[in-house]
Amino acid sequence: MAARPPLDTAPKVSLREVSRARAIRRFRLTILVPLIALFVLVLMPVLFLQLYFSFHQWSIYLGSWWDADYVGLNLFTEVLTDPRFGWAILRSLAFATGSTIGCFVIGFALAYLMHKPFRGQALYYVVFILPMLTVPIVVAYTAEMLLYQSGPVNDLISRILGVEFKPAWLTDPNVALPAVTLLEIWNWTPFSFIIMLAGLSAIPKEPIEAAEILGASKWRIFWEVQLPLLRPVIFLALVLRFLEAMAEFPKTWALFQGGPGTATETLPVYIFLTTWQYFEVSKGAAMSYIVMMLMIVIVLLAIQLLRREKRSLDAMYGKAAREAGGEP
Amino acid sequence: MARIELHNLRKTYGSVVAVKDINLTIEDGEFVVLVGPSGCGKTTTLRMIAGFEDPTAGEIRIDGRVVNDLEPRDRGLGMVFQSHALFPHKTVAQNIEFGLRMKKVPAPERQARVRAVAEMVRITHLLDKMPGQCSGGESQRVALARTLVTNPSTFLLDEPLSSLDAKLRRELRAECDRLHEELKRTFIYVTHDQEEAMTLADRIVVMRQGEIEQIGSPLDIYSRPASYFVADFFGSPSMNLVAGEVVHEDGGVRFRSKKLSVDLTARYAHVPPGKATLGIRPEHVGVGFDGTGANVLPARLIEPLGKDTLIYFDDGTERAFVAVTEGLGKAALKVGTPVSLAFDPRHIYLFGSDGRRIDPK
Repeated sequence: MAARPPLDTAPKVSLREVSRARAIRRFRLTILVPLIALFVLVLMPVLFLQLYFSFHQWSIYLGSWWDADYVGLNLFTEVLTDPRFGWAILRSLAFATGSTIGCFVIGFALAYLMHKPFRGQALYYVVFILPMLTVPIVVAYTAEMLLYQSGPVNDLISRILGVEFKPAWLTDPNVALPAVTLLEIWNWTPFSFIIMLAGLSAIPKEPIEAAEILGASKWRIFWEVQLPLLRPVIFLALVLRFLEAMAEFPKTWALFQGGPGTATETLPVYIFLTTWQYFEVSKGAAMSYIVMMLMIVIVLLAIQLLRREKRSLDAMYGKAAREAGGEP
Repeated sequence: MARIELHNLRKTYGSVVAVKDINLTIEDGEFVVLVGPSGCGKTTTLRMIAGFEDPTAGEIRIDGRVVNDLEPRDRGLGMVFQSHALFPHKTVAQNIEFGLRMKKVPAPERQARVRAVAEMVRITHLLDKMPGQCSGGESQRVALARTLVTNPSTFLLDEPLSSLDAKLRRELRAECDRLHEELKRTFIYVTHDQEEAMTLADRIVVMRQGEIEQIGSPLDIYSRPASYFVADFFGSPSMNLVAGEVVHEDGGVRFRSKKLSVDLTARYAHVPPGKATLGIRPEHVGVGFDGTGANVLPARLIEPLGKDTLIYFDDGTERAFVAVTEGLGKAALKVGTPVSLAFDPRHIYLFGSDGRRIDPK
């Protein structure tokens, strides 16, 4: 800060500044009030109801929900000792990890091919985005038709290879989870694609040109300049996709309802089964709470890591930020 | 060693012609400055030499070899960018080392060369810092070092100083000059700052709307501007350019504008009557206070600069007419005082209606 002329009195806050501060506060309130209202009126009751149910044993067909017996932590112990729940967690993690990596690798590759302008770019863009605009249930039914054992996919592959190719995509328990993972990848690669395309387009072109004239190959430039500069974006793309994949329900349900056997019984599927097939509403509520806690931990970790990425980014571009701030 | 030749070099973007068939030969070891207002094609020309833009037509030769189809990294050039273009995630040392690593120079030699170059541009204390921790001037030194270390045959500098403040700019300008002296390499420097061009260049290439307006030494450009545009672009304060006409009367040739009437003497006797622009640098305008002579104008504004004092007049055109007097002697002059202006015929320029300079006989 520039040196101020000495003042006799403590710095006085001008009327203008007061009214300015008031206006800012009012603006903040206008934005926050609807959010708080939404939280209090819609989310809080649901959270409390779920909490109530997870401590009271209630079956829909047995008596009023208000008279259900208090069972303490019983339901939580039951869920946590349920091996099926453990497997559901593992399946969800496997599904989310696999599909996140798949989406990211393909999405990033497409984004890299697309990030420099070329003729017909807009058309490719639309084509690559289409899967994301398709309703998951439509994806599931179309896939069911395509993947039928004597359906078009197997038939075409057999014709191309010239050998009989007939995996039972939809009935083989070893193939089912990978199959739905592939569908998830197909469905959501555009999401990673869009984020990575935005990230690639946002990298300033001068450092890349500097590397080019200093003798770096395309591969070196990618590895040593573009990738490090993209780190925060990559991280964001991975985290968002992972959280979404953990909650995937429509395709898994429409295609498999958790089967064959329990091969595709992921967390959302198992919770749904418990609540609406076995009518164990309270156990379902306890499960939901546990899953919510798990997700909160993951999200907090993610936020922590994102903060760190942002700090490193700020450090990198610290000078630019300072210059923009107008300080010497 | 590098001699760079541009033959009918052209670049168009759709229907916009950025560079219009320019021809230029830059000798080995020469310091050439491409200068002109923004959008004149100077940066595009430099980027074509670097290999970042493909010419629409024409040839670029380095030492006689056509390099149009060579990748930037195969042209043996070094470039310094306006935005420094440092790698923000690498330390200063890693930044400088990058080019050597790409050329597979062994590690011990790399370290020695990084150190030597860092000493050369006085940034050894910065080697372990991140670019984000360096000031604008320091960053540009690092960028210079990163280019220097690869020992290129030619340095391409794209407005390297325009993001710095005036004091730093002067300092780094001197640095560029010193490096050119020491290295004896070819420098091609792009700027829109006429002062930078005047102080640095062996030869100045003035560009305008994709074409070369004039090529010459700084002295040439200053004292023999080829056109109205060049005359106007160089010099601070810039040349007085007065629109008016040439008339033949009483057996002599005169220039007349709204408020001025100047005897062009026999030197311009060959100029036919008609519209023309008279140019005279402020330092060549004589001022007197006896209120006599053909051109007496009231002073409109007095600007004491210390070494000189500028006096502004209203000559009836859009631009103010400026005279420079040495020292602060005239600083106390009152606004409105009538001043007699004298035009030294040896320092008068005349520009035709096409904007080109009309030479005296």
